[in-house]
Amino acid sequence: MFSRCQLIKIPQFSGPMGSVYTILIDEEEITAFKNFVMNNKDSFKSEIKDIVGRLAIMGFKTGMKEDFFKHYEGNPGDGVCALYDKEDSNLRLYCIRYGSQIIIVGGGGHKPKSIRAFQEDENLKKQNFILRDLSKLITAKMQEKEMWFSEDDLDFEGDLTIENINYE
Amino acid sequence: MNKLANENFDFIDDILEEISPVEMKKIEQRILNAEKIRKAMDAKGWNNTKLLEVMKMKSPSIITKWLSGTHNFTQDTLVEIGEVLGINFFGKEEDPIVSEYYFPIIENKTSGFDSFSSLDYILNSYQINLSGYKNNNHTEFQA
Repeated sequence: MFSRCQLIKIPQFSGPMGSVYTILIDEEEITAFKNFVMNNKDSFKSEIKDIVGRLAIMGFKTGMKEDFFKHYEGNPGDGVCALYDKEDSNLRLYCIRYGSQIIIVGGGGHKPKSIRAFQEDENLKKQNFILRDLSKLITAKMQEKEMWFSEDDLDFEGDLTIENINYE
Repeated sequence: MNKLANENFDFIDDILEEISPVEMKKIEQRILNAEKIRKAMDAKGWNNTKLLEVMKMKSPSIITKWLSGTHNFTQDTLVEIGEVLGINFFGKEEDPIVSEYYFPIIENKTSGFDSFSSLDYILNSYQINLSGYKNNNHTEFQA
């Protein structure tokens, strides 16, 4: 899915209760979250505002509580989840959750009512699998002690560029 | 320095600016209600199934929805949830209004009894200090 991925903290969403990171893949010019916003802000304006507002409130007031995310969207135990859609909407934003203090927001998109599983939509499938791969690589990098959580668990520290040497 | 440091998130500022204070308050309140319910459930040792049972409801997805931080509760639902969990969603959490009255000591410059003018002066000179009242309660999000 990618050969290199950089983790970037989003200051507008990161506060005393938690930090929100997004990703920049390979040679892409914009982050996955910006791409998500740009692709959906015209068709799903109120949903995008709701997502932005919620992420800001989580970072500054509540933290990324388990209940706020739809879990088991990835492989068992990899933390890949999705932010709950606003009611009556189907705008999916994939994330990797690390406790209540850190999330990595990736990409996503609209899940049409005509499909049951995200695998039926090429874009959603791609965005979901990027985070599955990323989660695996972050776990390996942490085991190698190349990156770690800060003392207050609010940040990643170390080398935040994740290389995927197996990518062809 | 890598590319990260130069990453521009101005587009988020633009969206945050488009969210009116009232809209933000609504988003926040939905999240805070969800958090309040979860905390009360944890305090009672209740899981979602238990709350569902106590609320005499059938669909487990309703509890998930309540806790997701996206649900727009009706006042009736909040009263019902509050009743079973022993929480109040409508209580004020703001600091109370503090009123301070200052009664100046007036030098009596009249030679005779001048009670009305002195009384008027006292009554008109009290001050209400609202400095302890937080009326601007919304959060500022800054980079």
